Amino acid sequence: MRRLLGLLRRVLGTFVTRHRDREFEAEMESHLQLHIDDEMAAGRSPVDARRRALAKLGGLAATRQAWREQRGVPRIDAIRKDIVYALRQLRQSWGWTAVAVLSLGLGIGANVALFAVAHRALAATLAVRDPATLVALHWSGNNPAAVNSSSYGYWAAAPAAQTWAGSFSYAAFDEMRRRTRTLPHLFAFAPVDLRFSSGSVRETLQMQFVSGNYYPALGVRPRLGRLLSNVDDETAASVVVLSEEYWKRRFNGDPAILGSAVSINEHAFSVVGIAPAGLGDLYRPDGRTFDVVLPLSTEPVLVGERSRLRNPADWWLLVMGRRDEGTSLSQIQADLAPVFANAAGAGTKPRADLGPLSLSVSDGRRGVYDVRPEQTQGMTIVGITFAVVLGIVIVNLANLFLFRGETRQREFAMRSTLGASRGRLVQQLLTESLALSVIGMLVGLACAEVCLRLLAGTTGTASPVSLNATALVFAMSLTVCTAICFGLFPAFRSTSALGARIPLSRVTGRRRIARVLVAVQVTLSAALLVSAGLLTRSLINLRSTPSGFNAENLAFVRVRVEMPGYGPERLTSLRRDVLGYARTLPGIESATMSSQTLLTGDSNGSRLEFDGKVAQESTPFVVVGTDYFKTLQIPIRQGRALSPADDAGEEPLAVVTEAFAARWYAGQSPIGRTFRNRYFSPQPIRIIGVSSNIKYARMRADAPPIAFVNEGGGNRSTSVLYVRTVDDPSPVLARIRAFVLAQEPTADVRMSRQTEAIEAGYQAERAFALASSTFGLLAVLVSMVGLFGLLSYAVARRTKEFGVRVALGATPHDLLRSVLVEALTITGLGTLLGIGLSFAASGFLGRYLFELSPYDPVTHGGAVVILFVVATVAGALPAWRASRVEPTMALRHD
Amino acid sequence: MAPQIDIWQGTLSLMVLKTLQALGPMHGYGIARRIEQTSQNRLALNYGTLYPQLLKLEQEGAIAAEWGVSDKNRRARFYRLTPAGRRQLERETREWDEAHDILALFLQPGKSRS
Repeated sequence: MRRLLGLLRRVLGTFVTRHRDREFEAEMESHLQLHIDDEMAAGRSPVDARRRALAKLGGLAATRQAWREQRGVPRIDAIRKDIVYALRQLRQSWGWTAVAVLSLGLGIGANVALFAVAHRALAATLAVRDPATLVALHWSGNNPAAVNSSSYGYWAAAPAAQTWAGSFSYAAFDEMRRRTRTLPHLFAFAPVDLRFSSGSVRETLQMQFVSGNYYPALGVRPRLGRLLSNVDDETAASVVVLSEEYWKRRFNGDPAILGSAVSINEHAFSVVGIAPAGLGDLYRPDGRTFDVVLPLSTEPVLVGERSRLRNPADWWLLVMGRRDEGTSLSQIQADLAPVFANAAGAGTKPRADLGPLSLSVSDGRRGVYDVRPEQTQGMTIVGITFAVVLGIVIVNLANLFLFRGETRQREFAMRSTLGASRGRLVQQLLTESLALSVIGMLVGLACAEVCLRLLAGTTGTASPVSLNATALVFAMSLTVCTAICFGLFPAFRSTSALGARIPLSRVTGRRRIARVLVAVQVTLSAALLVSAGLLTRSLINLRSTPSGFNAENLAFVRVRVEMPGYGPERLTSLRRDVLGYARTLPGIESATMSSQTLLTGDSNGSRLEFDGKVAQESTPFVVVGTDYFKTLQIPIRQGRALSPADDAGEEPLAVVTEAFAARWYAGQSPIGRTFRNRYFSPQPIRIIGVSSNIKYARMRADAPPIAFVNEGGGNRSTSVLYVRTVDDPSPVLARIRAFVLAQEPTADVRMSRQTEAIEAGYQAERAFALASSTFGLLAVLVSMVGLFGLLSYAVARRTKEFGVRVALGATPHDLLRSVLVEALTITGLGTLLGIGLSFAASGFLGRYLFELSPYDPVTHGGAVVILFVVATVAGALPAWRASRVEPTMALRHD
Repeated sequence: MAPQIDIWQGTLSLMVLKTLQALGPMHGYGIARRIEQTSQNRLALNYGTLYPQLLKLEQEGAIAAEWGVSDKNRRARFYRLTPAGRRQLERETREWDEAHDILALFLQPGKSRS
């Protein structure tokens, strides 16, 4: 206790100093005065008395020092002084500091940003009470057929021979909920887009149907009012909960919204509460939130005849549960599997040919679908780039500190003579590195914000990631580690020869280390430069890859109406009207319908039947209107395109791609041959033409075999309007939108230019290329600063030697050359190793490249040229200085 | 010059406390002189070493200080024992006696403890 008190006062004493110091000086004065009085009383002269008093004290300065050491904690005191001194040192050479801080800032910032993204992707759990006891339910079937259940955009990486999904029919959910003995809460939810109106607000929103126990099971408290309950669900109460985000965005957080009437798909509902912000989608933790939440039992009323709730063949509900702490996942699985098998077997399977289905129960803390594997894949390559850049920065700073240590030998020698121990000097130097790092970190945190925006593209997360406390802790630890990495070695090297004159061998040894460090930097930056070049060229390849059709001045429009009573026939007739209207517009070259868009990730395949045998693989199957080939400008190679007259004949007809002919007819002409797709039409489909190949769902994939089938031949409608315009499609699109809304004010119209849609598919590649080129060039810059530093230092050191050589007849040209040769030797060596490194990583890099070999000679050659050009520039100034050495000046040189 | 004996290093604080107990409030110079006198000048003290010790005791709350006027009418900083210091003195005296007795058993094995 006593010790603690003492320590506390000492710590305080470190900071509250001035008053106490003055008091001490006064006390010393008083002490001396008392002593002098005594000495003079003993008959000594004032001068003698004072001398004796001082001697007896043991020196005023020594006493003061001893007293001060007791006053504060000496270590803290020293650290405080070190920091002040370090900042002064950094300020003195501010140009050097600026370069160091900037490079550190970029290095640290990029890594912190990536950490924030990775942390969210890897560690993020759902923002609800105790996510660890949530469980997610999935089922799988042993059949490779495509699934007719809703996956809500998520495609699981299931083994090829299986289907795997997380959606259930209401019947299956209800059966499990009623029969479970292990799960206190089993709840269901499903996203839906419905029209919302309140006063002047009229829009289509992302909504969610939830079972009555959804909020109680999650343990969420209302932000305002109340949340939905079991009673609401049982009575199909016309009540909704708004998300806090939507409430703030649209109603400015006005509490008067409680109890007010809103309309959902033209049905009257009342708002009973606001759900707290941040309660995102349970389907996967990507930060998406729902604007409006509705009781599940209101679905039949809201959706009308297309209701999915009572249809046991429609598998659309996502199901999760809350278990008790003591119940294990396997117990729940054992409990629910028979119930599920029973419910699924009772004619309620999503597809008859799926065979027996089995249930799996897994950890639900990350939602129904764990998207980590997808997200981390994109991060790996960026992560490696950033780590390497930070490595280069560290090596570079270590080198610069080494040179600085060299030039400060006199200062160290002086301080050492004045009694500073080596440990004390090392501590001082480390403080300098740390101070530099901390400033770098501050710059880095600003950089991180910028990087986060860059990174958002590579992972495809919906909402931006921000720096949280964990990321800040990471930033700080990274900063300290960085400082130690680049500070420790130079600090020990620089103070190793204190007191003695540095022998020549040591100096050259130090330069050898510096050379190796610079070569390492060049190696790493060469590797980065090559990978940046490869990724950029891959993106260029991707962009210049022909799609097989003309995407310029091409646009597509999707029209949906979610009104109850608005049946498929009315929708089809509306779409037909829109097509008719579009064809009359000026500026339109042609217009057509299609069952899907191209190169937007959309894919729709069927297992076709050839000669009575159903194929194992699924083939893209596109239902098209007339003028499809004319509108998309897909060349017909054999036979003919589909014509309006074909739709009158009831017989399904197809134009297939060359790849289709090659796959199913071994390259022979398929014209006149038939195949079947029983989901489309019971009749065989006759092939009347062969088109050239086109890219289908995404650019990266090869052009697949595709069948284009006429709309009139079967039972599948076309929902996408494709228009080709003479020039920019925007005015035409605006007029089409106006036309649709005039016909049906509640319609949801989405439109996009084909070129934009394709470009959106390159988002990840673009972000990769941008991030790796930016940081690749940064790495080159940093290494060249390193090279420049090394050469400048070497030239300064060798002035005397150059002087002697000039005196012995060397021309300035010789000296110039000798410095440049050193620069290029180091660069050459580093480049060679760097290319070796990129060859070693070729397997890894190759996965990210599109139609480009990881050994691409152009890219490698380009990197070599860039490095040599920059190295020559970096070496030019030191070389020029060397050539200007005056022998007389040099010999006088210290 | 009196010999420099190492033992007083660790016990200087004890001497300071004891002196303050004996003399009442006293300034640094007075304490130093008194310690020398008490040791019958067998201890030679660098007066400077006393001040960090006084500061330490002050930080630990064993003594308190305030400015006053000496008997020769000089301003000086007077130290006095606090209750905590009194307890500390008692405890350290006891411990010191104990240590002394134990050592005595080793150094003068003939004498048994009375």
